[in-house]
Amino acid sequence: MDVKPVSEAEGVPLLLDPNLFGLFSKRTPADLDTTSDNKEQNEQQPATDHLKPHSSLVNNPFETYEKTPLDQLIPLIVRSRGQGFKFADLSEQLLLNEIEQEQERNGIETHVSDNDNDINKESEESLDQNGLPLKRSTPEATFEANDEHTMSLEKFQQCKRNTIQSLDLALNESSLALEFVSLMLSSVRPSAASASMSPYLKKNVPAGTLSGEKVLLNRPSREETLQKQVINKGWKLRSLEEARSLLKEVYLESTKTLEKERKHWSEISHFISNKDVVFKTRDKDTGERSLGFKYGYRDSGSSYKLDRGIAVLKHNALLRKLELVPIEENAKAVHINQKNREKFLRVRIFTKLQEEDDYILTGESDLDSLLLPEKDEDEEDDMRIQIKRLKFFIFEQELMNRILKESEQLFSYGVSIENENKVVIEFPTEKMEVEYVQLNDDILLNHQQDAPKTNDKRARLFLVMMRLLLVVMYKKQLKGNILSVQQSGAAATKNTRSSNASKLSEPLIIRPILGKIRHNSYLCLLKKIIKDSVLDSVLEKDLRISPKAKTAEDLSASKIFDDHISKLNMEIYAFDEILSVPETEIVVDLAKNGRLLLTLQSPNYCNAITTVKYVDSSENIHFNTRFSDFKELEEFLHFIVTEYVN
Amino acid sequence: MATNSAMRDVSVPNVQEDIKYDFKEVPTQALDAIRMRLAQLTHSLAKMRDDMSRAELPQWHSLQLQVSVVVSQLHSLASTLRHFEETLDATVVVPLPNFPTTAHEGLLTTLLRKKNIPEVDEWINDAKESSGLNSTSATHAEIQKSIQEDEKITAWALDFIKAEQSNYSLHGLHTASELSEGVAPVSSVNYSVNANKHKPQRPFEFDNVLRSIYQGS
Repeated sequence: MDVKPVSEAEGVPLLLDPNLFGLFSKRTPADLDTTSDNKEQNEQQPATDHLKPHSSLVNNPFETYEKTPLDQLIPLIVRSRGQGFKFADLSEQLLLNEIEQEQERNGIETHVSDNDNDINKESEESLDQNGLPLKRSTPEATFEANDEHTMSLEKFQQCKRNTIQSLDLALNESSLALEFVSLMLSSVRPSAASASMSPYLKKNVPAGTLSGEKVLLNRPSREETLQKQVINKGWKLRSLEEARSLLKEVYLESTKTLEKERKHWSEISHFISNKDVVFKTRDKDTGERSLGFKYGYRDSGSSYKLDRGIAVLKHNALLRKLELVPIEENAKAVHINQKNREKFLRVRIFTKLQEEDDYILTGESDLDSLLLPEKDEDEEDDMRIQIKRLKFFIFEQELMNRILKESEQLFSYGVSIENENKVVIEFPTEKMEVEYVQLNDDILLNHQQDAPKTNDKRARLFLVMMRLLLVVMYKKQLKGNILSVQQSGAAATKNTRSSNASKLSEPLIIRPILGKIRHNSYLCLLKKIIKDSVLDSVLEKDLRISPKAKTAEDLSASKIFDDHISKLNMEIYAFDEILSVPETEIVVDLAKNGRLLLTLQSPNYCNAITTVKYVDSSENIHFNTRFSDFKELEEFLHFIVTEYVN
Repeated sequence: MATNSAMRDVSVPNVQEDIKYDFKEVPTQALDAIRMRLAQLTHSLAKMRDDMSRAELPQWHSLQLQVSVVVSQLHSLASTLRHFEETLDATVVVPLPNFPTTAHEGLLTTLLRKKNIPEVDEWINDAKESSGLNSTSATHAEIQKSIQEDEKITAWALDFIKAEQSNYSLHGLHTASELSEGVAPVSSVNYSVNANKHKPQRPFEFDNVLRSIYQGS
């Protein structure tokens, strides 16, 4: 059994470790033979020793005030003794009396605290395993120590040194005893003894050089027994005291932790409903386990991938509340701070001044109430507001992204991308700006001062409609997802699925709205042409304009058994009015001369194709011609009128 | 004490080599038992010291484990010592002439040292002071009495703590008393019996029918 950790090569057996001897000699000079002197020194030494390393614990006024000049010191003394005291009254006798009283009062307390310090220094068990020092036994100190959770490196090193020193001491004593016992044993059990002897001892002292003699056993005297019992009791009391302070400290600590945890979880359970998606994750910054929170619209059908919409729940120690910190998935996205995410869409309408080639602002969408600064909102709702805001911003972000993509194809219809945050849609008399704006204080401030304008409502409606259309896209995507899951078994439906997918990927946000507006202006133009070329030159006439109603064939035709699908279908169908391709029929009844059938269509929402049919009085269809140019159409109408009607 | 006289040591002739010493008074059994305990303790202490001396401290739980091992080994050592107390107390150790006394006088005195090291003396003094008993002023009888009282209190305290410990359930979220008093939500709330599985013996109980007439289902 080789128990020596020191290798022979090192040649320094623990027994004679010079450091340890140094340790001894510090306390006991010369040898251990002096008795009374030594004892006194031992008693004094601890007192001074503890002052040095734990100077903060023991208030030593001498150290602090020794060097203070008298002219500062005297006012200090006067102040410390309270009002109505004169320095001249201070006498030696008075002070001595006071000190005596003080000692009587604090006699027991000082003992206890001294002991505690002692234990901290000497015994390795007294060190908390976290490396934290024991808190002192006085309650004030315990509270103080609780407040400072972290301990300075220096303090920690000191603790560690103390522990190692104590361990060295214990190890030294233990090895010394082992050596002694082994040497003693080496005479009778050489093999066993040599196993536990240090190489140093083996080298220098031959085995079997110690022997023993039996002597008459001296029964311990009554006094000795009593003395031992006194020591036992004292040690027990000390240990109890230490255990008490440890328990108290741990109790306070765990109460605090409990309170913190309770608050944390009750906040979470209060703020997070079963509609939210919460999952376990790890905080990338700290590597700690944490809760992730999904605020993105992925589950609602969004296929937006630039921001996954995930935040980590964090406890903000400074504000003492929960915080949602979005995770940056995209490494390229250089967000300097969280505020950069706070962008929203603003629609502005500018009207062209007739005389000049200039525009004035006539309408602006207002700020969502979410964006307005909270007016002393309840703390209760704080988390919900955070979630709402996150949801709002990610939605706006996706909306802008879709609009930009869509606008790329609409250049020929007056839609231009001014920059990555601004899209302009131009009409003959006005233009609309869709801008992705950073939320900042100026905007919030200006918003309150802005006077209402004529087109505010239109701008607002435009914005609302764009948002609704994005939601419709979500719903279509969801429907597609469900269908593809349902159909994934059937290979035959592969084609329909792929066509579904392509249809879904096409953003339809600006286009339907723009289409409606353009269609309307085409219709105006068409009416003007008809008026000019037909109505003005024909006497008997009747004009009927009817937007072609789309039948609800989708819903009735296919039999849908899935509740979700039918619900989604209903919801999507609600937007059919705007999503369907605009188409208008105009019938010009020319009485005896038959009638003209004109159909204005915008197959890709924005263009205009007009089909003209002339039906004469005997129900013969003469023409069925398509025009994409209004000039040609006008000429054609002239031709029909002159040739057939008149 | 000049111990660095190894040269002289060599010249000492081993004249006593042949002399047979009498070792029968050596308490072999006791020493061997102690040796075993000490060897274990020394080993554990050395390991712990090494662990602590490293730049990176070991995990707190591993340290705690080591400490508890050391403590139990100390306890075992103490009880072994107590077991052989009388034998050991009655034995006097003497160095034999073949001990290289001249060369290693310091070693011998260190090995044979019986006096407590200053730290131990300090602890003993502290303990005496903490005991609240003044051995110089109080008579033996008084001390005896006080200690007996103390032992009584200790015994009571031990019983009390054991009883208290049994009062607490140290698992789960609720204390034993909470569970027994029903303060805590008993599991029935979480695991309520499924009402659907309950089938009345008769399809319609008269009272139930009446009740549903005046208060609905």
